[in-house]
Amino acid sequence: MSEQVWPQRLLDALADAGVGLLPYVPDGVLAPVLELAAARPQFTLVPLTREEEGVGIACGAFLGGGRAALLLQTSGMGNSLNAIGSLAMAQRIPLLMVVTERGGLGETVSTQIPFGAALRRVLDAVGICWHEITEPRQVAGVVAGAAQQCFVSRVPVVLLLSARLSLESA
Amino acid sequence: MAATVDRAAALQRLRARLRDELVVAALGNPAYDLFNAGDRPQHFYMWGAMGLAPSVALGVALTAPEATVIALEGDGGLLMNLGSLATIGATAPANLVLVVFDNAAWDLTGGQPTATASSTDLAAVAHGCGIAQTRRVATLDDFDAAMAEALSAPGPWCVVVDTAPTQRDRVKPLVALRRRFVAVDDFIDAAVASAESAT
Repeated sequence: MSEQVWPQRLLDALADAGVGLLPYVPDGVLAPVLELAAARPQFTLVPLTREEEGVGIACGAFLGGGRAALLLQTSGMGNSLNAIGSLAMAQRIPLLMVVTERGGLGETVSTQIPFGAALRRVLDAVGICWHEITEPRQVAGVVAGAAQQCFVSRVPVVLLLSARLSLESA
Repeated sequence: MAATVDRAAALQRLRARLRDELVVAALGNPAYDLFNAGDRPQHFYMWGAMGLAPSVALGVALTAPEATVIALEGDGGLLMNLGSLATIGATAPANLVLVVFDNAAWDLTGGQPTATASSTDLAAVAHGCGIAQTRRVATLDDFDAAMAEALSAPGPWCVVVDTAPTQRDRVKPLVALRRRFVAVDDFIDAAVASAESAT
């Protein structure tokens, strides 16, 4: 089995951006990220009951003087939209989200397809910036740039981890 | 009929007790009554995202462990985000105090009854989520005593307050609050200052 390099690169880039708190709802693609993060003392993992709760926790982390990244899958974006609009956007609190793509290439669960297929248009409609990562070599630069856009310009930003990324070996 | 607490009076009592504590107030009556009791930079007032005040406060508490963080929520809001109790129980931040003003109604929208009017016991739910320091109070003096304890002993705490219906003529400080809703930097400065003063 070939070890993927993108999870480690993602965590390195988040740590470099000053992210310490990682609220999450797990996902098969995120599993290696969660496992690696648990072994690194600069990260605090917070398992959630539902993604919307994580919007509040991540915004609270910024209010407390820190930085968080909310880890979730496509379906969780659907659960979070009004909170992103009425808390993060309305009160100018930066919110960095790492979203694993579902409903796209290779999807086997049909329930993921309606929202997954609409995700990019939904994000555009709400006015949430998003950046897609399709290859491991993009991770460091895109995460650093997205974190700067998010935390300095104080806007919500989605890092969309393409289904292609997890198909890709190192 | 059990005695019930006037939320505005309770928040005046709490306001008089505050020193460096950070307070996250849910939209609507908790925010109005806290603002009317006396604004401070350490107050964060929500204007949307109903139900997320406990989660926002949890994020602050985990990031600023030297500060004491108080969340003010209502029964309608907490019922929208009961999962926050499970997450607070699991993360167990010693510096978090959740105050729930339970008037068994969606008060701002006309007093429609919530599930606490008939069947749900929010203190039992909080206790069942592992928040051992849970109290239910029904008088102003008991609220005061519970908050004195919650602000001096490790938590997480959950204080459920049997709350009277809001009087219709209560002043809503909407215009003054509007400026504070977007002025989050004062709160961040206060949170960072509390961390620095503790080190």
